[in-house]
Amino acid sequence: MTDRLLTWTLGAATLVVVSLIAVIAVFLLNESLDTLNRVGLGRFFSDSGWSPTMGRFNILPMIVASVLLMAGAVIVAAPLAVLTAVFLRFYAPSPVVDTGRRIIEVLAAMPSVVYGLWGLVVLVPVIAAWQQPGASLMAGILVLSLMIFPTITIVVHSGLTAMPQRYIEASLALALNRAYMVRRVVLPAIRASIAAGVTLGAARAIGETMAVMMVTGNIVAVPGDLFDPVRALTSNIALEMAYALGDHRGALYISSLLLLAVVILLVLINEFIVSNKCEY
Amino acid sequence: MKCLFACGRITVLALVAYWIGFGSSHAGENLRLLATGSSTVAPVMAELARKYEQAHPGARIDVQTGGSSRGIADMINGLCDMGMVSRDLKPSERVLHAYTIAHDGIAVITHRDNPIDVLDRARLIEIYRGEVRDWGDVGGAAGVPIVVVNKAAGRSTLELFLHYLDLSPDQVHSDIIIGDNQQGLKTVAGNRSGIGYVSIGAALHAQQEGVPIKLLTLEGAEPTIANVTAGNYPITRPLNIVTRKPAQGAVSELLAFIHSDEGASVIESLNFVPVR
Amino acid sequence: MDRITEAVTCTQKQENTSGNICLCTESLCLSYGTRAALENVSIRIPSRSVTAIIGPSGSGKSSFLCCLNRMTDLSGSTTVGGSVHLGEHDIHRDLGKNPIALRRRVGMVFQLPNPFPFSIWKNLALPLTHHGVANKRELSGIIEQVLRRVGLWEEVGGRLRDSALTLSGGQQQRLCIARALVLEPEVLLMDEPCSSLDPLSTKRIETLIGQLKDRYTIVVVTHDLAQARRVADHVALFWNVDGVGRLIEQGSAARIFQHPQHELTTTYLEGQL
Repeated sequence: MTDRLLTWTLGAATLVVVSLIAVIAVFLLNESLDTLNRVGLGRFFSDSGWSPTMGRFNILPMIVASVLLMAGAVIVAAPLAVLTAVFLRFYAPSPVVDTGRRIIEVLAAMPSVVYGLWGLVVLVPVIAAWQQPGASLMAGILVLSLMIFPTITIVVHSGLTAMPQRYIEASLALALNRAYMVRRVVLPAIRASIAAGVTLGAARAIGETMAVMMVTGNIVAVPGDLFDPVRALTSNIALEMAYALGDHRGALYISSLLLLAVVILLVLINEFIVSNKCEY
Repeated sequence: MKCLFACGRITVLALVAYWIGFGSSHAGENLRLLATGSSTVAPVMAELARKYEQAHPGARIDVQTGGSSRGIADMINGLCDMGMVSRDLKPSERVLHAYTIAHDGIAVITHRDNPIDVLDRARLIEIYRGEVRDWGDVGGAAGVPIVVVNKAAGRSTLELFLHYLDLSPDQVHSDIIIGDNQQGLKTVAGNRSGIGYVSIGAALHAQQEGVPIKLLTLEGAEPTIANVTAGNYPITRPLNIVTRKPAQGAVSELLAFIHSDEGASVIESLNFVPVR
Repeated sequence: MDRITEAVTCTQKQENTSGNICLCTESLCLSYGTRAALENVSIRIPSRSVTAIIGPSGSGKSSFLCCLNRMTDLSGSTTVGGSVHLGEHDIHRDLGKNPIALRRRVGMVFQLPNPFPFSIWKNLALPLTHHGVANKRELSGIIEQVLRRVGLWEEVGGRLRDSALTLSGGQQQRLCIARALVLEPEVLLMDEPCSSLDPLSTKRIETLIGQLKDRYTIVVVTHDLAQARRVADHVALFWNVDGVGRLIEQGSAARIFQHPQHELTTTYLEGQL
């Protein structure tokens, strides 16, 4: 009886979440459709620039910026996060493990605005002293890496903790040294956790708005190098949604839809990696 | 940084805000009002609201930012009780009713360590068109690139400033685009070669708090409260509250408070010029 | 208490093992933190034969096994006293701080099959590549050889790229034995290797143990007396005396089973019969 009750409660909860996502997706699609029909998908990639109040709708530079920010952050944060998790699990003395893990949990829970503010007040001036104008793709990548580093670390560390002890026993009994064991046994064994951590981090990076808006300079242009300012899709929505009307508003909804699609794609890629159980 | 929360507004939140704002205007005893819009007006409004709430227990006034255009758009869509707009209404917006609560100017700011103290309009135009890229060309330190900080489209500070320079948004070359006043202040404070423009009230307030910025003299007029009051400063604007219908009930009571001596002293304490 | 200590020394003196001694311990003690697990174990394990470690639960059989390849190093709080000799070397003094050289010579198979979640090939190749075998052909040669030795070649030779986790429990355990053999150890430690397996798989492993003893010294912990009778050449009985594991009696399987000298051995054998 209680089991049935639980089944129903859980089922209902799942249904609510799933339908909420569906409602959001349908809403975005609905808001985008008029503009898509009127402007046409092609112009979002081929117009001469982004000034929607004057009928120019090229969002490609912002897509490029968002993808570069996400990829850059993952490239910087993921290796550091994996190394940190391995250090905490296999190398650190136990008092370090406890405090280390607690600090990382606090970092993961910190509101992104705090990271943004830090970036704006500390990081951007430092970069500006080196390469003007400071607010740049680089600043965005660094702030985002800092933000997603604890997220990835926690997921990977949980994976390491949940990994069966018998793999470690087997490795040691086979006279493998610790470094080799980590590299060839442990990391491959927990690649699902690593993939999950990276997906979560990447999704957080591409969805981040406030922190990115504060440090990237928000110029709509494809960056020539790491020190050029960029505007992410999310920042664009935040900066312009407040006053956008008509097709301008529609274009912003299309950007949101695109972000949703990217996140879904990330989850699917993760799913593929996890289900692909055996290597070579 | 109240303003930061509002900018990342999602539509779902807007719906919630709509529900709160709409439902509460009729709530009688537990009066709730929602003001949205200009990030220049918001700190003034928030401080006024705090004082008003102290005098009227049970009243609650929420303040959200997003730029003057949001204030207009929210008012038209019935999403708020008061729209905050830091400029005059445009002809197309005249269906709304505007109540001026204070006057403000726009100050051109640089880092405190920048040797420049004065710029004329012609130099400013060259800088914002990207024709002059080096501080040395306008009397500052040679070899230091000028980092132009501009406001995002839809912000009335931008519209007023560009109107003053007689530039269209397309003509402006910017290195960094910022959202609200606070981000502008922090960006310029963190970049020794930056130049930007923000509300005089916000800039003076930040300067008092120790933020390392400098307000430039424009056309011989220093950006001060006195000069704005006297009408000597070239870029001034009214800070308005807009409503769809003529103000009545709670909103008109609040306006009466704002125009009282007590309201005026709050406005002065934030470096804006009260309307008597 | 006194009597038991006496009996232990007694059996040791009486015992007269034939052949070379591969492993022996002298007054071996083990404690986890402050809790003693083993006390005063002096055992002689003859080479190229099967020694079964028997005794009730909690008598320190598995702990003893872990002392032999220093798996006890895993938890930081263990202390080991006395000595363990592998051939002429003291495994703590002569084989240095690093137990890796020791573990190359003393392989281990665990109670639960523990193949890595990789392919069969990778399971066997991993220890080899770590210890310097890089040549693909050489790898294949060794892998085929050990798989044949454990009788798995016919079953999995054609699908080495499949995940080891797709194998049955018995196959997994034989794969683990094969994996322990790729490094050509001298000693193979087996900790209740059949306790999780069905009777048919158990029988296969027992036959395998019988075949492997020509090449390796095998120490097998078992709680199954019948199994000890089937596979062991030598037997050592451990007992929990006042909370600490002790060696009660050791000797050839024939003698222990037919003429146990210690009354605990008699009780244990009778209880199980």
